[in-house]
Amino acid sequence: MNSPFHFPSLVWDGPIAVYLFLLGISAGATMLAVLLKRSGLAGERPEENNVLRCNAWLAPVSIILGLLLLIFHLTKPWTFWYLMFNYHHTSIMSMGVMLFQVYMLFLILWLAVIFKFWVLNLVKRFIPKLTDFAEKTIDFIAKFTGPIEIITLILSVALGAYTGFLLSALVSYPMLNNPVLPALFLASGTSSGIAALIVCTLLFTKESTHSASIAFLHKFELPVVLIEAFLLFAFFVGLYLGGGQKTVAFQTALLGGFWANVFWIGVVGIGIVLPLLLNAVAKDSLKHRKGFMLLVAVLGLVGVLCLRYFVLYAGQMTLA
Amino acid sequence: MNSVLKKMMTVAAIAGAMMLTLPAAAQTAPDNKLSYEPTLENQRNPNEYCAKCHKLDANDEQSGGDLHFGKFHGLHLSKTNPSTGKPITCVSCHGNISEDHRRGAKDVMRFDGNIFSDEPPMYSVQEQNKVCFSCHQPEKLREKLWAHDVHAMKLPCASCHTLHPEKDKMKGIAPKEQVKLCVDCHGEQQKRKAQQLKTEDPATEQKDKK
Amino acid sequence: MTACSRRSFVSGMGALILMTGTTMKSAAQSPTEKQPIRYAMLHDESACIGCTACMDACRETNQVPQGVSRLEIIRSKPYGEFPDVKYEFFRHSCQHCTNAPCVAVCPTGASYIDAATGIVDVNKDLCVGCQYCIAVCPYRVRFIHPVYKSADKCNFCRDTNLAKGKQPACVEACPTKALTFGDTNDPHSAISLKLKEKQVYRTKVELGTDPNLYHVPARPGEIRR
Repeated sequence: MNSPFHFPSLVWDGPIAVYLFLLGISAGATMLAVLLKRSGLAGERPEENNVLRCNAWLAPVSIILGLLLLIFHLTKPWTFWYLMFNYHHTSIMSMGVMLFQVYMLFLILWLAVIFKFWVLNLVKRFIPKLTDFAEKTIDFIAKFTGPIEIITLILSVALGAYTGFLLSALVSYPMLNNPVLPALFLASGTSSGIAALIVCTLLFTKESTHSASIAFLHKFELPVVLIEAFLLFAFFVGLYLGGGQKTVAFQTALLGGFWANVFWIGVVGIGIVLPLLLNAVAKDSLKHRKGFMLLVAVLGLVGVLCLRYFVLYAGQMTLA
Repeated sequence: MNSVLKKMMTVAAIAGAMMLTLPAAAQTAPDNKLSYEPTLENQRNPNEYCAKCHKLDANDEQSGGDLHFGKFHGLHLSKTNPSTGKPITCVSCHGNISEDHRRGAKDVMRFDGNIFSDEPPMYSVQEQNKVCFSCHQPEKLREKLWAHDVHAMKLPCASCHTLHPEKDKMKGIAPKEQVKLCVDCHGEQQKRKAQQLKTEDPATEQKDKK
Repeated sequence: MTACSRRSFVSGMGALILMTGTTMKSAAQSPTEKQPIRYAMLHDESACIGCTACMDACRETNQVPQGVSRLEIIRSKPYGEFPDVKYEFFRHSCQHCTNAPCVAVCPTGASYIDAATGIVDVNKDLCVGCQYCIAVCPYRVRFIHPVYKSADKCNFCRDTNLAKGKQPACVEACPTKALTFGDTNDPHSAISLKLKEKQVYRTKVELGTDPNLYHVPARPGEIRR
């Protein structure tokens, strides 16, 4: 019984695709948030900046959701903690587990510094005895805000590329065992992070579409999408020219069938061409309408989700 | 004019009536057949002739042996020959006897399934299997079991199949039993091959049995 | 100036290097040093009759549940015309790669190479079931055990027959002795001798896995893999 979602060489299925998507969002959103903060556009009171406030929810929640999906995808879910106590440097997955933990740590440190008063209020409410200690700790950490931000930035780049490295270790699938994949995932993760931040900010806060923060985010959209398009091109040309099973993988993935449609319509059409087109032809007044910006951002997110599904499923269709 | 018309009408009516009834008449009269098939009275039962000595249901010497060739409860006697449409009889597979049948002459087909016996069989593998292949097609055999392909003319069908008992040992055989059959025969074959090699040239015997 | 002058430091280091360099070298070439066992298996396709007794023996000895399999014999399409039809049989089971990708990718180390024998095995208690190993194996021989929910595959009967000093179940069950198992580090073992004497091939060697399951081709001519 073979279907696009169920074939003999498939091992990692739907939940993994969604996890890849969520991780890209978390990494991309954090990356942009740190860049925004360091640009100074958030001003003296970064805790009031709507984009940073959204990131404070989006980044941790999306990565935790992704990890939960992963944990329940294990065939022995309750043994997941073994992964945190056994590390092997040859295993990308093991190194990724370590990366998550360090990333979460630095993310929390950075967020604690920005949202110091909010954190202290929480502590005062629930564990009042620790308020002083908490304040002293956060003040201490705040002294290192600069290095923390740089490290968080680096970690978010690493996380964005990590899922690409994870899949590229699979020598059994010639389409996935590809050096362009980590770069592609980083680029698409960044673009999905930007889109997710825009969606959250416009939906859940009263941020104006003309704000400096939104403009900052928007500035990154075009170059990132263009880089992503180029990387996609390089990825597939590399497969086509690779010979042997690589060329077979190219043909199976792109030249017909369900996943080819997902690629051409979802990834290219909805995710890349349509947003570019809309941004190119829309008048300025239309471009700054909330609905329009939301639409373009959602199209981008759909495109990245399609890309994750496509790479995961079509990649597993061809064996070495 | 009127009378001519009337006459024409009556002729047409009679002709129409004939056209309608004649076909029906033709169908209901078997004696009107234009073919002739002689039917014989008191035709003998070919099985009965063999069964007089090889009692179909007895246990004595002529019917004995674990293949109990005298008894026949198997499927084949109830089937018909696909080429002629006539029922299968003892003669269909074994052929007719000769005068010296009781003296062990080589007249009827004797199927010998014991491939490991020391005596060579009376009939060659080709001669024995020819009988079976007159009805059984290789393609159908392949569908049933691929191993038919590789054993086809190498050993008698009778080495695995027993037709006289009610149920052929191979029919509905469990997969494990089927594997055991392969293992037993091929194991014996390898053992004999090894022994043969040993007696031919002791220098090639593998000392390292690891 | 100080007790440890530059000159004495340099000469001291030189002495250290000379001493350790030569002793390490001699230790590596010591003839008394025993080499670990490197188990491998040879499937002689010219002797294999495709009876699948090996599959049944493996399933029984290792308690492999129905629906999954540690060992499969894959039958080719028929070659030739009746009555001279030939089939070829290919053994599909773990290759116990010297450079096993499944061991490299396992995050907890549940998939490991037993240093004493070279056998790739799975510690089912440590396995979390992430299926990375199942995805990475180019030979597609791994599966999730329906009962233990951990990754499973042929382990050369390491905990069953080998532990009792017997040959793996498949080797013992084969009626035509098509399977040979042994230590390729021992030049006098049956498998070492056979590997030298017969023409053999391995599959997917270009992926760098260095597999240890050898095949004698079924017939001369180009190998059909």
